[in-house]
Amino acid sequence: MTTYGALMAGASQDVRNGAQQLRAEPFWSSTEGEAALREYHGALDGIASHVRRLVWTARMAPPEVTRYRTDLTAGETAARDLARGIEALVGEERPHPSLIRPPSTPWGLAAQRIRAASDLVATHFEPSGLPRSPDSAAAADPLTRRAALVDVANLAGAVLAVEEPLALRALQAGISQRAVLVALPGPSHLTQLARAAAVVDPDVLLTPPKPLGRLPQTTVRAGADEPLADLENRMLRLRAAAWCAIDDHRHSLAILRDLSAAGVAVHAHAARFHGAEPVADLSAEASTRRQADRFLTLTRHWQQQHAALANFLTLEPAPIEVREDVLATARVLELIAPLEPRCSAAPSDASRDGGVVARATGAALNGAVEVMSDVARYCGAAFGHLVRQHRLLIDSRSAPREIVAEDVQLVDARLRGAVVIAPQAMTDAVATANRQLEQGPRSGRRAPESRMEREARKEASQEPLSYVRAPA
Amino acid sequence: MSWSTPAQELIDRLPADWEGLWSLVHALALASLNLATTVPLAAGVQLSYAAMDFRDAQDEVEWARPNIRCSSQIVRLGHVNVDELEEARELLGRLAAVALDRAVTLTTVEPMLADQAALARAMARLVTGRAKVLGSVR
Repeated sequence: MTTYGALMAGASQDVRNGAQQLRAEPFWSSTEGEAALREYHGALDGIASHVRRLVWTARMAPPEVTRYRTDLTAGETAARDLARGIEALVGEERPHPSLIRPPSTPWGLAAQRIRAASDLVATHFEPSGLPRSPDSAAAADPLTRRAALVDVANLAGAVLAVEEPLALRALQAGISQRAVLVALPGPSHLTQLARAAAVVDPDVLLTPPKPLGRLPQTTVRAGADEPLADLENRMLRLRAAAWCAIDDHRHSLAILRDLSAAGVAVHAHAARFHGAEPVADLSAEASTRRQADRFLTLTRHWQQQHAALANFLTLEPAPIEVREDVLATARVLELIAPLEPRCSAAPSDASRDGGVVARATGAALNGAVEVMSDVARYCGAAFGHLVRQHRLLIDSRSAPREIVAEDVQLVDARLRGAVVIAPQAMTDAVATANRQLEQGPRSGRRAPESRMEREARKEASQEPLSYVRAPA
Repeated sequence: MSWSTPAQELIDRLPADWEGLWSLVHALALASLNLATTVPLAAGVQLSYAAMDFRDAQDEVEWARPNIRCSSQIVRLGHVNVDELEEARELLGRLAAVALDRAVTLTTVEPMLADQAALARAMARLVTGRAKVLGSVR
């Protein structure tokens, strides 16, 4: 006899098999890759349907009314939002395209089992919601339902986790980048919703990330067609994320780490665009007279800051939107100012338009560099808050020896392998390095102001000054 | 290659459990950061992205097992020379593959879906980080 638990365990095994297949071998053809994408969406669609079935079981009402319910618990709300988000991604076409053909991948098999589990739950209730079988009471028990929702949310998390490797394999199989981006737009708020729905204690659900307010929202299609506009949007969003990190103590360290990676990318690509060699030796004696050399030096400083921030323990992940913007910024930068020259049959835009596009690209990159100076300033303020509130923890074994040698308590902690509050010497080093980053490329003649710089200045004048504190 | 001996010790001596996995991904994250700050621009940027992924994998293991730092070994691969870049990348790719194997093994024995989800997220980061280290993705 097939049970609900057996079906969900089988679906979990299928998801593991799918992930292992992605790791072990590429797709043999683009047809195979497209089938995997289609059935991956089918697995997500199955999860969404299952969530709706469980939430409907929780609050008896016609299934089509579930989305309008307002009396759901926080966990049920997160699960319902997860279902909505998935349906926005995979579409609401019925039957789902993945169901038209027999499954050919583990994702398709997982989708079959998840839908079967959903149907099994449905057999215990009439369409009106009245109990239909002796097991209806067990299926309707609140604790049982909550446990099932948590399991489905964890399963959704496992499925969403392989989105990037699947996208990688699809690109390797020859599927167009645009098609992959539409099918798999990247780490999204779905992952965060899956985490929120999977929390066992509803009282400690993760706080939803703050909305970015009046800042521009981005879409995949707009980004793919207008890279310079996409870069400007992404930089404004990163700047806002740095601003929000000042008061977001739970996520600020993870945000600062991600933003430091963005700093590396922006300055590296700007340096390359302005003539730095991709194999340039970033020696300390590099001349600062040329703009490219200054950008190279800043690249190295951002890398060192990224490494320094990695010494501190991260207790919670950054909001998924920040990571998404950092990755998208890196993709756009590689598109408009590649670090290494690419061979292409098509003539470059720069040569065809007589340098107009090149000037626009240069202005956008210079603007991005200026915005990163603001990002550094806000990151410094956020870091200072963490230091003053003693929220920065390190593994004592990671502390530099010269610092440990001067602190008896740190020596004792190191011998025990304990986690301790970060010593002042380490935090001062990060704060000092950050002050260098705040200055940006302040040398020589200032580059022409781009539209993004004007937008960034307007944003600065609208943000309440009372929130700005001097960096530590 | 200066990393060969400590990397082999990592692979041979660490247990095939959560602590061993943490030690592997921690060494990967640290080594990628060190390598990124040592090598020229084009490789260094890609290695910074890879370091981000490996650190995410480390975080996933720590959040799934909050006390794991206290019971895990820290292994440092040490200094690397600029002219050892290609060997270093190959070695990091191999370590990431070993970490993936260990994570896969753990998913087959872990009964809790929450742990399996955490391992799935860590594995995804190891896959993308490895691809960036080896230069097969931008």
